[in-house]
Amino acid sequence: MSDARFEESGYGGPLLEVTDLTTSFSTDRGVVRAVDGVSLTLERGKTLGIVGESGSGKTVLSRSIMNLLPKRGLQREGSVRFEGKEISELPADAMRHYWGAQMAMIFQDPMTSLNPVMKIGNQITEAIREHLDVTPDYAGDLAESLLASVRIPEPHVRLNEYPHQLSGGMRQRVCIAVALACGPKLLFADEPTTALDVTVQAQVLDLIAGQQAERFMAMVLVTHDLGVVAGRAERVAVMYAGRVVEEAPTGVLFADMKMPYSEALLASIPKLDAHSHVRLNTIPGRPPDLVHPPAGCKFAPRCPYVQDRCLEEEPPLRAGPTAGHQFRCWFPVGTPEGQEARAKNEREGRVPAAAVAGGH
Amino acid sequence: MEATTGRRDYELLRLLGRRLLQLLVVLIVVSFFTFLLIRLLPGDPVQTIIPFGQGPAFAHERALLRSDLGLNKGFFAQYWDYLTGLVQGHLGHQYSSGTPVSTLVKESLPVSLELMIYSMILALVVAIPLGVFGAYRAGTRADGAVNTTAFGLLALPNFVLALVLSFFVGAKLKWLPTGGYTAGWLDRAFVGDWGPLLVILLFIAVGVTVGAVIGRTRGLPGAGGVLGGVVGVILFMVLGIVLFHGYYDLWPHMQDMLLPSITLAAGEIAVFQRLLRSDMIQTLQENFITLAKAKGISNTRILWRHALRPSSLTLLTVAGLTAGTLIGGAVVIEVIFSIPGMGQQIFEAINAREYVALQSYIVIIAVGFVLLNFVVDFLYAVLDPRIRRARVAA
Amino acid sequence: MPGLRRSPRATPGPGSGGPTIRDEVGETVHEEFESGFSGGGALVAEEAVLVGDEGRGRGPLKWGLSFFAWLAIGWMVFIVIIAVLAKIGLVTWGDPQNVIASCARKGPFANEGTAPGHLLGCDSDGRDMIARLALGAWTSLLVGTGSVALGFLIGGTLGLIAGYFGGRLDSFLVSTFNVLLSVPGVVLALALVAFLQGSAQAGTATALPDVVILIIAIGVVAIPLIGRISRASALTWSRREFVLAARAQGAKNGRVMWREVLPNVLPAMVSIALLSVAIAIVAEGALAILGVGVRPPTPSWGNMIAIDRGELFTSPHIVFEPALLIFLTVLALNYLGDVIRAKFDVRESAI
Repeated sequence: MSDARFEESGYGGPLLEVTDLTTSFSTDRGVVRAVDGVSLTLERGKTLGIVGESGSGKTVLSRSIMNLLPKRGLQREGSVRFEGKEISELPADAMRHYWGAQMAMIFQDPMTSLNPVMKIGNQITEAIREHLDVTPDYAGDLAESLLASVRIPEPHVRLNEYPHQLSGGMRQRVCIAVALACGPKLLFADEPTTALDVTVQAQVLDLIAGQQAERFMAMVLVTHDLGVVAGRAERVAVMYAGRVVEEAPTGVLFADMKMPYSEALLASIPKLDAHSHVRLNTIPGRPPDLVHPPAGCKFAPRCPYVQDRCLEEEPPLRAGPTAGHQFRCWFPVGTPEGQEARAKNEREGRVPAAAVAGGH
Repeated sequence: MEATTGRRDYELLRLLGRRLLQLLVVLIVVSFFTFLLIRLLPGDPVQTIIPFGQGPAFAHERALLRSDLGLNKGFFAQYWDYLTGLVQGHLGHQYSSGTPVSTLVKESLPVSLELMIYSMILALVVAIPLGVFGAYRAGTRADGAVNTTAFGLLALPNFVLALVLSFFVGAKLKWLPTGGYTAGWLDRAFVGDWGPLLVILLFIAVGVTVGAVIGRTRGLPGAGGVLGGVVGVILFMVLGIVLFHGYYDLWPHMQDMLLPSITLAAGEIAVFQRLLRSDMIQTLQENFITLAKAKGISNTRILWRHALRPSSLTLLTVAGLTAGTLIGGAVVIEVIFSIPGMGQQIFEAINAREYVALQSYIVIIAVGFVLLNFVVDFLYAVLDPRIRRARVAA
Repeated sequence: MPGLRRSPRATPGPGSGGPTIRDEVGETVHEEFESGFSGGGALVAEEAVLVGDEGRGRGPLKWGLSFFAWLAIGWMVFIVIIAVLAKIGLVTWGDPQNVIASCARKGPFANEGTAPGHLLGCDSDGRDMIARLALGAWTSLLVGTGSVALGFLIGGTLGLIAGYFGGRLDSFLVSTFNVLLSVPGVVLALALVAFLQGSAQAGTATALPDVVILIIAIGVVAIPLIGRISRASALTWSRREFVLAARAQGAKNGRVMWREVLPNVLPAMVSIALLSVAIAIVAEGALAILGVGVRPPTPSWGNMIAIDRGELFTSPHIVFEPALLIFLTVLALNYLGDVIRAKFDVRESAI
């Protein structure tokens, strides 16, 4: 069996290295740069959180790394190395050895990501039988134990049921079982709990984390909620308009965030101890048009710290005070320049352009 | 979760009850309509239907007609007699020959059924791969060519295609006969000769079983079964020609039926292909397809196993719904290709003004069509809920 | 009739697609993005395109008409002019009933050779094909448009009423439509024509002309089909805010239907009408072949095929000339129907 899974790579470097990945689509209106020069590194068994609003390109990024995007009008540049091997140029036939077997994905909406006319058991076993040379019966047993490991009651009954017979939380557990089926080394979890009831969100996240630890799997956890990555990721990358605008070890990020966008994201998390009538801090305006992005910093039109320089010149990714902390900002939060910029704006009554145009 | 299953069964039963009631109403209305047709002929229906001719032979015809119609009773009593007669299979007589219409139906109905079965199979066999291909390669030049052809086929009336095929393929190339009919399997069975039908069923059953068993080892029992069935039919044909020349040899029958079946299938192919293509393009954008791709499933398996299944339910409905077109088409095609089916009988009945026979043919076709729609509706309801719920949730 | 049967998606929705989304695209491309590419799932096919039938051909057709659309319009105008001229006898291509025995069965590709002076040849009796085709166009178009007009007059009105008022009236009309639809179209029309012609032959009733009988028969078949579609369309529009607002302001029902609902339902109906005319023309041909069409000597495209069907192998031109005209006319009507449907985003409903 030429299955890549069984080849000991012997590669000592990071599991996943993404360098300068750019992904754009041609549309009727022009080229949309959904992912713009993103570089990431992920070690074995670790978790990387990718955080951003909808439209920030985080979902496209994870699919672009896995090479799952539809090919029409797609341009991909940059390098994706998995266990040191360049996979960004591989055709679909070669990628098939990675999909499911080496890297797997959990999708946002469990209601639509299972085939409605296929039994749950078959949806798990078909991945197993595609990648592992096992008998149908063995695959069935494996599927049953997978369902048990994601804590689905009566797994042998569920195997013969259809997705519509399960609740949303149960379906997401099935999706997790599907993703885990062939023991991948890397798991992409794309907003795995967004579509679920608040009550089961934590359960599902904990389940994923538990399985991840048990299997020594690396994970890319994509979410719009900084609260979700807080206790679960070693590192966090904040994305805005297709770019990584701040990246740091989780603790560092929460303790000392530099990018006004990260600050705004954090402020928008509802706090459990806050009074229920306290208005949530929303970020005014909308993410920029990715066909004609603003010239300077992409966040400038919505930024309370905005200065003239921000509108003209895009800040490069620069190192922060702590090791492994990078951000893009001319007037970072918590620095004298930043405080001064904000104070100046408040004095002059300068409000971000987008907040006037689109804030409601 | 068990409750869901139970409720579903209950819902199905209720649906079945409602559909049966609808079926009954429709059948009564349809029979009343056909009953009315003859009663609305002006003047004395007997004189209208058999206007000319004197002498004892014609007197006998008229007496037979009069007793069939039961004209001396009241209107509703007549309808009651007609309805009970229909249920018991009294369909009147062909007055020029005195033959009971039921005898004529027994000879011609299976021929029409064969024609429709062949064309439906042909349509599905051609349309499904074309539709899947169109969805898979949507927007390519090949897809465009298929779509244009399908659009052209939709505009091609079946009688025009029948004439074109019988002229070029039949008369010019002389590949296939342009008319006539050799007995097949179903029509023989209808007159008590069950041999060919049973043998062909045996071949299909063995083929499907063997195919499914072999297919299971590859995880594809369904595909194996279908393939096995096809192999069974082919084997039957070959063995029939080689070993049982004459009796079990259905080759001449197939030759006679080929052009009419192609003609009838052409329109259906266009309808099915277009529908399946657009349906599958939608399905291919579903999340579960991306998930299947992320599992590392091959494109072939994604197309045939994941994407075709949901779309095939739509196809089933449409196949049922176009049955009306198929029946109407078969009537015309039989006349053009001289196939002695119901269409031919209708044609003759119109030209010979055998109104009672015509009335019976119409009521039989209508009842058959209603029953078919009933079966398709119910079948769809049995298979449907998980699809509908998934789509609603999306 | 071929094609036009109950459809699983027989709901021509209001123009939800095109213009509104287009206007917002400028601002919301990123949202479209999330749903279109990431959230909504990717396409499996490597080179596949994300556009369906609706998307295709929309771009260039948005304001102008494509070459083929103009071609189709040109063909229909040509046929209508020819038909009208032939009917009123302003331009004659010879008398369609004039028998020239020496020309019988002669024509292009005929075994007996061409007929000099008759470009398209003559029929089996020796009548000029051009003259008969032109007059046949009149008959076929008359039956086609007449029956669809009847279908719209009754079916369209009933559908509009059912969709607008809803309730018991709606369910009653819908079940009536369903019962009518439970007989295959060709068979229903066949029964009607056969018995209507039967009563005409009896001589006691006022004998209706064949064309009128055909219009009635095909029209009756069209009523439930058009009724269902117009009902579905009226239903969606009647639930829209501006209609509700008009009703809330106390406008009379008739006025609201006429002023608010009908104008919105109409574009969809035009598309359906074109497809229906095409189907009715084919139905006329099918009925003629079954022996219940327009009876000779009046020519129609259908009965020209039916009468000389026996000459197919010796004088194919007699059969293929009207067949070709039917094909091209149906093709043009279908194409125009499709163009209109794409323009007004009418869902696939009649095919």
